[in-house]
Amino acid sequence: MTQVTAAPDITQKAGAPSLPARLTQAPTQAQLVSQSRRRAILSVLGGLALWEFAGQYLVTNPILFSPLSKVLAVGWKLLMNGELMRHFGVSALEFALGFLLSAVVGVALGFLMATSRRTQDILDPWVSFFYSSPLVALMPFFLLIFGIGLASKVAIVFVIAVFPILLNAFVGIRSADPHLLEVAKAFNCTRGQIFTKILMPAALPFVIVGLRLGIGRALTGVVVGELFASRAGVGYLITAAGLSFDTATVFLGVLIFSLMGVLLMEALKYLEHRLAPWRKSVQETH
Amino acid sequence: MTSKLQVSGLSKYFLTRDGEPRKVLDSISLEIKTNEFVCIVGASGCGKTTFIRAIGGLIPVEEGEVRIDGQSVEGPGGDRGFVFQHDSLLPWRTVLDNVVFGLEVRGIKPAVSHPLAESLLQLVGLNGFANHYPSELSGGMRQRVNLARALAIDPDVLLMDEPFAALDAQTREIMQRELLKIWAQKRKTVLFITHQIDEAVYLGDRVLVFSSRPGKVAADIAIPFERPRPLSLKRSPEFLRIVDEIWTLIEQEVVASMQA
Repeated sequence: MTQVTAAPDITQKAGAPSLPARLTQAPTQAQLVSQSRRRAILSVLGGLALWEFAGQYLVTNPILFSPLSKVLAVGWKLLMNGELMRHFGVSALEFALGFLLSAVVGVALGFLMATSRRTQDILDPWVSFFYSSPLVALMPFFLLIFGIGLASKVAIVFVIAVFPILLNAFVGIRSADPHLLEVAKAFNCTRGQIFTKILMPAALPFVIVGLRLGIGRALTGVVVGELFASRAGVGYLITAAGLSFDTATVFLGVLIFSLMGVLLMEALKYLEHRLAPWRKSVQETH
Repeated sequence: MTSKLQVSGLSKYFLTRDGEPRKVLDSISLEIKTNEFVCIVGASGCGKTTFIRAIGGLIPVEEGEVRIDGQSVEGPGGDRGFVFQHDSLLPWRTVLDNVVFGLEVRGIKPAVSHPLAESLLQLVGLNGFANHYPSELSGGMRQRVNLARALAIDPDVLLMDEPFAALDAQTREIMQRELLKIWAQKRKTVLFITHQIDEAVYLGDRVLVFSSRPGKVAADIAIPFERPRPLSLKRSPEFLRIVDEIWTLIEQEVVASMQA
């Protein structure tokens, strides 16, 4: 055997350690992340530019399309005269009340169903029925009993958002690792301790998924409720603008709802990082 | 030395799919002295895990009695600490919070439990890992935490259900040596289940050989080696002779149960 393979080690011991070229040329994790981010930003900017270009040069009829600049101009005008914040405030309140109600009721009922066989037996057929029904169709009914104001919107947001939250909370509790329940048993946990120390943390990631689905559904509920019948709100703004062929304002309303959705999802992601740091560490190590 | 753990006439039945009762543990009786390290080996399916789970109070038994210091026990209790085979750490708790789990459920304040847990982490060689999550640890490190968690409640008897089965061969050897070191310091009565004969002979003062269907004690073999035992003991002729003797017993049991 020759000593060829050992030679480089000896000669380079004094200087900086030299790494194989293929290793140093490979992109680092941080580089990959910043590359992804750069591409995403470029994609969004490109899309916005395309929107503006199409509105300015391709579809010039203002009823059929509206370029970004015009939508922003309308937005600025409505922001200045206070109309935008008034409508947004109404929609935001409807969303917040309906979503909070569905989150509290959904998680509570889901946990109850998962821990009590009797509750599950009683509620299960109803949950399956309502989860698969197009509950938006209930809006005329809610208008009849709750009127045109806030209450009917909260009701539709609630019924649309509550079921995915409930089902995910239920599945979360049920999918707790039986090994961990055995640990709780070996350490003589009470029923209450098993719930708070094992089942609830095990269910948390599922609950977050349920809330994420619920946010999307609740926003749809706000739009549907306001499109049906309303006196204010971003959905009302869209309906009124549509009736007067004001496409720019229609786009503005849709844009506001979309941004609301994106911001709420980001807020939930942040919440997940705060509440479930162990999941972050899983992602980091793999 | 007095008897710490006493099992008398313990039988366990499972219901088969047809609703027929089948005996899985057949009237097992044994005594373990204070600070004694007893290993149980047996072919897979011989009921050794069922046995230790019954001792730990994790499953009910139909006949027989378990006594600790002469007191009959039923269900789980703080007098027995369980070290599980599988990865049983709570993934949402840091290493430190996992170790204090048993103390926390008894209402012991962090001011008391945290310093204790820190010293146990030092004992099991996990200094500086208190704030890591289980997912950041290797399999061997996770089983060290598992052991520290069982030791934290200061049990009379340590029940270990194949704790090193999932580890690779090298890590397992290191963990066996570490366990003996910790045992020498803590002086606990240990009941240790394994399917690895050399592990049982290396660790135990006594090795109980379980036979299958239904599970019962087929042999009770005293291990004569002095302590502390170096890992090199495993290559000595006397060690290999005992391992071979036990293997012959189990081999006969496996063949016998297959012919039955």
